[in-house]
Amino acid sequence: MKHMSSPSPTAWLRRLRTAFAASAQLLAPRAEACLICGKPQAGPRSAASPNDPKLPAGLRDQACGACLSAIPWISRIQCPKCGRAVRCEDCARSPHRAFVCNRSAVRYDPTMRALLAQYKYRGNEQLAPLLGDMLLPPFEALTASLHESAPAARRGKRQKLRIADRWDAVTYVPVSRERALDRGFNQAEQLAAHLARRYGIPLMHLLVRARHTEKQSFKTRAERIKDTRQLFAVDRAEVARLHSLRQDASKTSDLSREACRILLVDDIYTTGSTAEACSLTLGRHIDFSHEIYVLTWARS
Amino acid sequence: MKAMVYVVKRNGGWQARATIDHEVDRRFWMDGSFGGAGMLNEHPAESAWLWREELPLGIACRTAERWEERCGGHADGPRMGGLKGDERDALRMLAACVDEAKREAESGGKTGAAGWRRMLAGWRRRLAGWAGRSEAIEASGVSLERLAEQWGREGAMSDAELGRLAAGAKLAADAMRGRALLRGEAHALLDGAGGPGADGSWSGTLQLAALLGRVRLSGAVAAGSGGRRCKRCGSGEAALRRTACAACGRICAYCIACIGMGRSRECELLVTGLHDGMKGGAAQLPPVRQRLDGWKLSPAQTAAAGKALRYVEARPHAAAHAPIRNFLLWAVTGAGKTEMIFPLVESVLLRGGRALIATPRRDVVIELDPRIRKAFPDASVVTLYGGSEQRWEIGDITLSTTHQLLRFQGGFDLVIIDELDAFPYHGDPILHYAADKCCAPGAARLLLSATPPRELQRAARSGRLPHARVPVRYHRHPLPVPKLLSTPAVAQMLQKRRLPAKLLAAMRHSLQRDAQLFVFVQKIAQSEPMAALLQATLRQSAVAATSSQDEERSDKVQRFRARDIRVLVTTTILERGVTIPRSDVYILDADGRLFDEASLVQMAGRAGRSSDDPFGRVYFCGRERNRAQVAAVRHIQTMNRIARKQGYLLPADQGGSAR
Repeated sequence: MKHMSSPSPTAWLRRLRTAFAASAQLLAPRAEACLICGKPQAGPRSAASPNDPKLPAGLRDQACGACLSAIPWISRIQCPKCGRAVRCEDCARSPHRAFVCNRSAVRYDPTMRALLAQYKYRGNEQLAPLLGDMLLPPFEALTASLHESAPAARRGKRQKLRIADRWDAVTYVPVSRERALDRGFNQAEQLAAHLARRYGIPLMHLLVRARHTEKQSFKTRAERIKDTRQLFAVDRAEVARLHSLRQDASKTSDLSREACRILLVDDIYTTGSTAEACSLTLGRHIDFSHEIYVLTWARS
Repeated sequence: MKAMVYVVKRNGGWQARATIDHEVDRRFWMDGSFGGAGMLNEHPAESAWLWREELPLGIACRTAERWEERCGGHADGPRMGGLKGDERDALRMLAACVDEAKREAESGGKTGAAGWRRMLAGWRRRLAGWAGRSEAIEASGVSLERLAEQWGREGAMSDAELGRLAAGAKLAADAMRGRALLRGEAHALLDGAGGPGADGSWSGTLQLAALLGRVRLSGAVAAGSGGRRCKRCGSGEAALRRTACAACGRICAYCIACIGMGRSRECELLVTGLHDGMKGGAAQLPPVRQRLDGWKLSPAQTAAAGKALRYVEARPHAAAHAPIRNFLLWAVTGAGKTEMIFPLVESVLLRGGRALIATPRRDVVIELDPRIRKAFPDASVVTLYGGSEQRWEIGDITLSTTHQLLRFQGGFDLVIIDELDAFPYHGDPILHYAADKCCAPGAARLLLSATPPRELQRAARSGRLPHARVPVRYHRHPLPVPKLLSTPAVAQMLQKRRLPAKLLAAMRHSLQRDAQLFVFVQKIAQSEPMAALLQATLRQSAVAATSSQDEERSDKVQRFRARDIRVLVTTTILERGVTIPRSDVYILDADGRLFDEASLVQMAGRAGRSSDDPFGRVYFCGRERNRAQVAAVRHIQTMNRIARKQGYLLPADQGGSAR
């Protein structure tokens, strides 16, 4: 128990920030109208909102009961690799991926498609916290499933505060400069930032999208595969920052894990090729032991 | 997006402008000739300096505005001439304007914790920046060049390119006339218009059109009187959300109120095309009497249309900021409103203007479309609604939902708002803003309704609002007066699975006389169960239900009209715009909260619309008679009385009612 009483100053700071984020959320104003259907919401925490304790409180404040109960959560995972709710032949065919596994919050059904379109294409950025909150259940489940050699005493009540200790960085799939100029924001970055802020995990801008000018359709298959591999590059300064953070952490903290644990966030997981390309790029440029987990909002 | 600012010296005075493609401005000011298009600027500049720093669009536009406020400058502005002095004076003033624009942008937000933090950061940055900037300006010409570069006369574009650019600008200006479009929409419009410059780069084309004074470029959300507003939908701070924006690199506000039609934000370009207005006057037109006769209207229709027509044509010319001239046409259900607007539309077309017919309901737009095309076979008609394929077309006559009006500005010389008291137009400030914005200066606006909102009725009665009343249907029979039936609530009927005897008898009688039955209920959820109950009780298989959430609605209305469906259970969604010959109307829960006087009058107006069966029946069924029901009955009786007094009803020997 000695290490419990004297954690490193940075860890303390992190915990403090997490605690602050959590209490700030309690004080945050409740949306007047449901952000999904736009209908005015009944009184505070009304009986209409399902009192599902598994739903993050922020979600219940932003959307109405009817909309919340229409969310197709992926609660039972059939494919341990890609987090699909049905048995997955893709993963059976190519079981070796550059990332450990993917977890998604919801199935990409027409309702979720419309919701994402509102946010991503219409640009209704006030949906970002809502979508971000939807990532919390799968993220906490993923974190809980990590095989950590933590003493049993640390579990239980304080588990939420400990989530930050199990991750070294949150990063995201980048968009091209043209896309950023056009859309004004990167949805994956906003989702990642939401998680990072919520748990006090460092947000790292590890990846950049390398410019590619020619259209995919003009290329041969081999060229295309090569091209996808070169779609992403790393930000060397950020990788260096991750390295030094990691070294600081292993010097001072009580963590027993070997590998640097990175969470890669994106909005949709379809074939996994984007997540794979990002993970490969990271793998080529990070020269210390690391493992990459993928968290996506929807699994199509 | 980002933009740049520059100062240009003409006639000894400096003016400042914002640009989204400075190469075009350089050519325009320093040379003025555009290849095959010839000389576009007869008064080239003596000197010009481009501010090197790229600015968020809103800040660039605001900088030019600040300059205008402080020094005047544009040739057509109130204070001609602009700033006197050398380029150092001009750049110092420009630096001050840029700074002010930035400061305004930073302090414009709500002063929450984040606002204060932003403001503090801004001050700190400014303190650092000010020192550096003023030093640089005070120093020699070499330092000036760090902030700004002087434009030379040489350009990078070939004559052929310049000619294409000029042709594209003319095309863009013509296509944009009277519209207000976001950048993406403007590009889609111009891509559709084709022609030169269709290589995907429209910035230069639009910038040249702006230099020529044919379009205006600005941020879609911008500071106005009383804080920031969305310039497209008119919403204020309450509808604005601020987020970090990768396109302009700052915290920038977007509008959530009109986001369904594309995102309007501070650094998003709003392109507004200027509309020249009507050329011809009313003097050359044939006499009113003669024109009205061509449309074969009933006496009541002729009288009202004539009054409206004289009002619309009253003004010989329109000043630049002339107010909208409203006229209320208060015509009972089935009066033949559409026929009455034909002479008005014709008048505007004859004078070379553009006419707009807008209504809140998409169903009504789609139903109007063939009638307008038939009445004006030689005019180009464009029909607009969400998902319409004619989105970017230009027509003499535009038929539109009120939502689509957000995409217009000052574009129409005659605006007709049909069913103005219908949802969602009634009570929606955004749609009212849009209906104001789309009117050209001094345009006439005709407001059409069978049940005008109370404030309009009052304005009409007191003489503040010019109006004409049509108290009779085109077939000259009186409106059916509703009968009140005391019945249990719908919920109770559904629960007991039984209809009250009186209602059942009336419905059976309607079916026996071969009428179609409209049955109105309050709630969407009640429509299907009520249809099932009626099917069982009336032993009539052709019963259906529809509502706003029914995708087969238009199909069911068709089948109802074709008499494949005999009984249609529905909600207020069908209260207006639907004409079914030989129909009787049953309004259940008529004492319910959702049915007000206007709604009851409209639903009652579904009965007796054809001259073959002018005496349809209307029943208000409910547990009690409330004020709305009594008022609706009185409304209908008053209209009938006025019609009789004015002699519009058919005499009894021609099949008129003896009452």
